[in-house]
Amino acid sequence: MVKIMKSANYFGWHPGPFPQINWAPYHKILTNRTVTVCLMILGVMVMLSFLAPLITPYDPNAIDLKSSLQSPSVDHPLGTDHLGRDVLSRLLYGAKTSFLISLSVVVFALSLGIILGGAAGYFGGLADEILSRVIDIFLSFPGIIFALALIGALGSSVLNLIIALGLVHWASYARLMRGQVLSVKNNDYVSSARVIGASDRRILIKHILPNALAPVIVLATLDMGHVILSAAALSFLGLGIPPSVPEWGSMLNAGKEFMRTAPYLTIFPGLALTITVVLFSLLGDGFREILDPESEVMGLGAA
Amino acid sequence: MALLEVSHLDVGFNTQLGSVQAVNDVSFQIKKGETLGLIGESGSGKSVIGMSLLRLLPMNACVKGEAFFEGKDLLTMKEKDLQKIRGERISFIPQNPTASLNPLLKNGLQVSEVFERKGHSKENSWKSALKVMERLMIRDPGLSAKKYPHQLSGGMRQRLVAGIALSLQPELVIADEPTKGLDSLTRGKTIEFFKHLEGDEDRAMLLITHDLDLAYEICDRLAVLYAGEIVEMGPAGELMDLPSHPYTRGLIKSLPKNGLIPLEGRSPSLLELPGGCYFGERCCHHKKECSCKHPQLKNSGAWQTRCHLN
Repeated sequence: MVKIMKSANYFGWHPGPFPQINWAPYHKILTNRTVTVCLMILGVMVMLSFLAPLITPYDPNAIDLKSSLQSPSVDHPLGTDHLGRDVLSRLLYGAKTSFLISLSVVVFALSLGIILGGAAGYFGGLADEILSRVIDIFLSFPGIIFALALIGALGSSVLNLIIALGLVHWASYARLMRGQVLSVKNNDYVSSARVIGASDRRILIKHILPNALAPVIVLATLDMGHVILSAAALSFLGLGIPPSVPEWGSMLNAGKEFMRTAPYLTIFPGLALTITVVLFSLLGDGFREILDPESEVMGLGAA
Repeated sequence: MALLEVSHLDVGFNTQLGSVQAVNDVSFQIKKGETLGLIGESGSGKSVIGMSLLRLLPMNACVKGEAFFEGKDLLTMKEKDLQKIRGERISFIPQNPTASLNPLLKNGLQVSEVFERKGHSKENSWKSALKVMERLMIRDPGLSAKKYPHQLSGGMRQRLVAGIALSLQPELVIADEPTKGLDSLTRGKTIEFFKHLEGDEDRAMLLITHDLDLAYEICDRLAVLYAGEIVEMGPAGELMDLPSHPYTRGLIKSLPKNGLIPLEGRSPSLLELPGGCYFGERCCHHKKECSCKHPQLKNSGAWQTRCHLN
């Protein structure tokens, strides 16, 4: 054993007790109880949804009319629906659908909002005027109806659902980002950067963007929950997601006819939706606390 | 030839109440290696002059006149050309060091950015930044460089901001109120630091301050501003010992060590300046002539005064 250790050292490898991880940058996240708990629960949910094939023995789409509308039992912990499909499997697979759709919508809306809102705020003048009016127009539509119309025009598919919801949501990011950039760009450190000869690009990326981003990130986190809800609402109406893909909204829709005889068909997807949205809301609040520079000094290093 | 030659500089701001004339017909020169101090009370247009030279004023400012830096007019040249001069040949030490540092960038990065901008690699820039910080008398530069601005003391931030401005060895430094908001101990250190800077033969400096002691210790020449115009300009020592303009005399008398005698009255509103001498109403040597005719700057050698009495 000693020999092996020595030969390992020979190659420059020093066996230490544990690899050193620098936790300092995550100090604020780790000490905020709301955020840690929410992140842990959401992490478990995401893991469960991605490991669904290993957890449930049933195919979420396997139709078994013999065992339709069974109440929860040992074989089917959350019961079966009117086509005999296992509700737990569909719930877990549906979580994956919801998380992925929500993530893509938020990333799409966020990038569009940051770029267009940032440009409007930074360059001002005519560009700002035009972009602001476009943002106003997008904000003046009621979200779900606008998404309905878009899916109606584009056709019903997962990609179109993402595009539609993204187009509904980007304007609120753009408006927030524009306001942030407007206030940040008047800071002295921005003119200081200009004084040392920094380019527009550098000023935008290094000095304005990082300082403007905090509230936008909070909004994005809160929106993760909202988007899951909107996607569920749309698929409840039978739009966007094809019936073969398990999804919470379409599960609610399918279960609503059996509400009296088999309430578990609506209770469990409904609970899953509620819990997820609440978790994202709490997470957003937690992030706001963390990112607020006035909330307590950073616990880094010795002052 | 002078390094910087400002002539007939006028700065006005268009506001809802009308045009505010912040700087009126200001002319001065700075030779290579010389330190000129702009002194005057708050609102006399000192900072506006400094900012206008690098075109840092807000959009509603209206700047007229000429400012030749090595034969090129800073006020009319293209933004692109000016951007090359900024930081590298003329740099600016801003008034408020706390607000002038990006709160999300580590101190070292704030300094190394200057070098990165010149095309140095990240590592080299970082090394140069550490060297700059060492020269700034910052204790343990390696550790301070990894901290964020809010973890530094006010004096250190002040020196860091100065260091950023000086790191590319510019020919001219515009320092905007470097002792503003500092306690007397830090102020003393800052004065020390600027004295040390002033020793550099090649570097000219335009020092904007209302701190007369600082100006006296550091500057070669002083220009006293009142209501946006130069009322007196001359060699620092003589001007402080034997001021000829009543306003300068008043300023010097108001220093604590000279008896803390305040100047009566207030400076005129820049929205509607009086017809005669701007200082006329507060002047104890007031004559009839003072309220009807605006005095012109009179030259006598290296000395210039704007007063009917002399």
